[in-house]
Amino acid sequence: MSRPTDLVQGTLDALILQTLALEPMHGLAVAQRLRASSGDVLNVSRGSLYPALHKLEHQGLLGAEWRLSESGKRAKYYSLTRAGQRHLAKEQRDWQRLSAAISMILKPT
Amino acid sequence: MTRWHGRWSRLRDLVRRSRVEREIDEELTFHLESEIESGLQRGLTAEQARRFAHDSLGGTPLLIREQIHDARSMSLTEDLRRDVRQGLRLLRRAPAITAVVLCTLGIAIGGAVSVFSITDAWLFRPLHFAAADRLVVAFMASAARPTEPAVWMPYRTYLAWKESARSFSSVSAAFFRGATWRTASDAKSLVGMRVTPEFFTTLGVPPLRGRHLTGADAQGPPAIVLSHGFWQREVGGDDTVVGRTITLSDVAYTVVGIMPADFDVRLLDRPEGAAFWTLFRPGDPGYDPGGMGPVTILGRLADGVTIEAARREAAAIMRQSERAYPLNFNQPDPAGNQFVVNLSSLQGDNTRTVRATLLTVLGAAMCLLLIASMNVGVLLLGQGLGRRNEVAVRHAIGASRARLMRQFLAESLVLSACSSLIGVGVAIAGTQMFVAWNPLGTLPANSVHIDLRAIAVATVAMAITTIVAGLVPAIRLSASGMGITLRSGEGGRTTAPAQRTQRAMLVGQIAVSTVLLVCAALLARTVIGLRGEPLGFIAERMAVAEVSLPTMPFDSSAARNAFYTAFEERLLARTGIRAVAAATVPPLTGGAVASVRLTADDSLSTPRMSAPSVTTGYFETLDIPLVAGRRFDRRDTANSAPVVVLNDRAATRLFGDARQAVGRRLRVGDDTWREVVGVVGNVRTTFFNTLEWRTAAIVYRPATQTLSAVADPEATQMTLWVHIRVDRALSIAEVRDTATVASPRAMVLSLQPVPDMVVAATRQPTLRMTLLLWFCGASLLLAAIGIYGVVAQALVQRRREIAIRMALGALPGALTISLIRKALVTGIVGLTIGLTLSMMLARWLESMLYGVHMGDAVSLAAAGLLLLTVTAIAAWLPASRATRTSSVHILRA
Repeated sequence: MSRPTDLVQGTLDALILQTLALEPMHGLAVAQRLRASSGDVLNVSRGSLYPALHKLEHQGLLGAEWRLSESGKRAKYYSLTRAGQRHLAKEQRDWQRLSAAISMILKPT
Repeated sequence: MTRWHGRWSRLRDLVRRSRVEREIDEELTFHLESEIESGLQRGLTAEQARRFAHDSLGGTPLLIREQIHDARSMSLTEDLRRDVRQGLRLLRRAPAITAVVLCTLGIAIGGAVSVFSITDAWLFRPLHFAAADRLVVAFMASAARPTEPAVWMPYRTYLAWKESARSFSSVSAAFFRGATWRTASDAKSLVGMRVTPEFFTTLGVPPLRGRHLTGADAQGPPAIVLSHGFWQREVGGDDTVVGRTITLSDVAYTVVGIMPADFDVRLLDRPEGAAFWTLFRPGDPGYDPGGMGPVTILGRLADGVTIEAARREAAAIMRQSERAYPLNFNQPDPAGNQFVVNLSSLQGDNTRTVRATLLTVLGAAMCLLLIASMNVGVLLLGQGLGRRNEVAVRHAIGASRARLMRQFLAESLVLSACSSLIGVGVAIAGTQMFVAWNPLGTLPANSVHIDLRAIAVATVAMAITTIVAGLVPAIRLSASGMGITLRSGEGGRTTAPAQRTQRAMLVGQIAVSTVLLVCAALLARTVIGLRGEPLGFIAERMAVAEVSLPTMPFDSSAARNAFYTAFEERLLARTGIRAVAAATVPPLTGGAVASVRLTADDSLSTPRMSAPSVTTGYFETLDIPLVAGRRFDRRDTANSAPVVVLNDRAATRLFGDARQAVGRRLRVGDDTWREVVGVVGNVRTTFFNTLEWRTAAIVYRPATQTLSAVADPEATQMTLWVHIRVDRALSIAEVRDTATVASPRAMVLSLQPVPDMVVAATRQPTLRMTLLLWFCGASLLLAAIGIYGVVAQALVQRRREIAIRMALGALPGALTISLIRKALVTGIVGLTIGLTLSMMLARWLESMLYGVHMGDAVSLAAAGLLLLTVTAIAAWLPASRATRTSSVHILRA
């Protein structure tokens, strides 16, 4: 249950947006997808996921609607808005620039 | 799963939530339930599945919910909306305190705002004239009281100032004139002004219709300018009236102009502005060069000249010009009274009577606002400190300190916003009630409307109080270790510094209440003194009719006497009328003065005394006792030797002793020598704008010999005050019918019960007392609520300790007494400070007192005793209840 201290807030937002870019899904599905895709390395969803989802929704990057889930219960489905898509694209560009720079610095000589 | 779900939903139902919160809950529940189900499917035990689900969520639902709230509140409006909603919810949770706080603040804000708005219309907002603060009014004051007008200016001083004073850009003179306006069915008495032609230009207001009066009008046929009110009420707002003639007091005037509605010129606290204006005309006795006819001088100060500088210049010019006349107005009279020039702003002149009352009430309203804010501070402080547990729990489940502060702040803002709204409502209702009630007997020339600045100031002051009172506990609580509070399980005891703040606020509240109480007690004693003093005549069951006798046909003393004799005879013929007598002055008034001389020498240095004419039977009808000699009787006819009756004061002043006076001779204003045939007791009179009964020196002349007014040079009428002693209700219609039978030309203008006139004479002090008593009641109630609240809160916080002490054998009585003693100590400290403050106000209050002094032991003791009694009762109520509760019950809880 230790919190990933080295994970900057923006990274979680980007991961959520990236996940939701595939299809609309509810919070639990986002959590499971993140857990599956990043494994133990990025076990970030706990505790921070829902606040982040709500913040992004509030910022207008995510839209939300209530739908019936596969289990037949009402669930809140999040999807990327147009602004969210733009934001994700920008995040990806930024990330690529940043990771390129970091990999250059950290490249063994 | 069901157990968990049940617990979760119970938690969910604990508080009613908005849609957003419900959705958050549903979302989190969905997550938990889905994870639990998948866990169970994978073969986990219920407990393992629950733990797994919980783990997947990353915390308790409560914690996540807090964090979602924090994450969502990026936008300020959303944040505020939620906090305000939360604030309202919390206020609903403590309805008693919320109601008390809202009522207290609402009434205090509303009261202060309406009192300020009324005072503002009277005293602060300028009158409806261009540069109204430059307008000044001149009277003569006695040197002993230079700020109180005592007599009118002589007309010739106006001429002197007009010629040489540099301090005024414009000078005019004005004097009241009464007139009778006769309609088809009725007659009424109007008050207008005679003015000089510069009057309207000095005030700088153009006419609404027609034109102003000019110098040329003084030579031609009589011209008149009407006030807007007269035009609307009496002439029906008819535009064609300009150029036509109207008849006032049997004189035909050409209407040349109409002034606008806001042209409201009052002199000497007249309750309303003049109804019309005419010019002084050449040949009016006293209003020619060198004339001493009474006027007030209305001037507009030149740029950059102060009132004091103008007064000095004007006084110097007057001293210089008076030297030219044998009767020098600046010379002191034998009693040593010297007159000095009194110059006051027009607005100051209009508000002498009401000023003290308005300022007293404004002061009381401010005190009440102060008390109310301290009261709310005390209650909120106590309530906030009592919420330690709630704060600790919220803090423990993850609410940040800033989050908690924000919430406390929102609560305070909600409180002050609600109370301000109530305050505005109270203020609107208050001013409307004031206008309808009209307790001052007069409304200001300016309209009374709610003052937005006052609302803003009061609201901001309240907001600061509630915010400080709300935030102090939040800061203290979130700063201290939360765990300790939770573990101690006692709800925590109020911390010592907070308790001190509370106590200090209580002391302040009691101190201000003391000031109000002392003032109210002194004013009450003043009114009792004024009411209790014997008047010198019997006012009960007496009414006085104001009868106007126009010059045509009542042009002689004989004609007036003939009318009166007929009128009296017809009145006495009616049932229930015991006695009738007439005088040229109304009750409680000395009337116009005349010089009383014991020698043949005509100099100004003689005593001036009131000199009314009264009918035979006047002293008997009013029950004025005889001191020496005889009253007027049948022997005193128009042809018998001229006689007078003095009152005791006049006899003492002229001859040293009442018995010495009988048989002596004197002259009253003219050349006729009159013999003093008797001396009667003094009667109380009032004098313009002074809070005291006076004993005027009065020389009574028999109506049979002189039935005329002394000082109305342009008299086209004479007013007779017919005193009627009755056993039953008397209507003006009855008196009017009787008068019409005696003569169709006589007009009965009014009929007033004399006791009402006595009440009216003490109207301002009575009003001050009544209003202050109300404020006192409110402040005492607030102080009591404050004390009750503090004691009750302390008891709640200490209930375990008290229960233990009682279980160990402490007596409930002893405990109650110790609590009351503590409250009384607070009360005594507040009382001491309050009494000291009252003494500091002494000089200001002294001018409003009569027959009682600031150090009046009875008033101070009464105020102190009442306050301490209230304190003790307010402390005893919660204390006795708490100590009666079973200790076992509390300790088990």
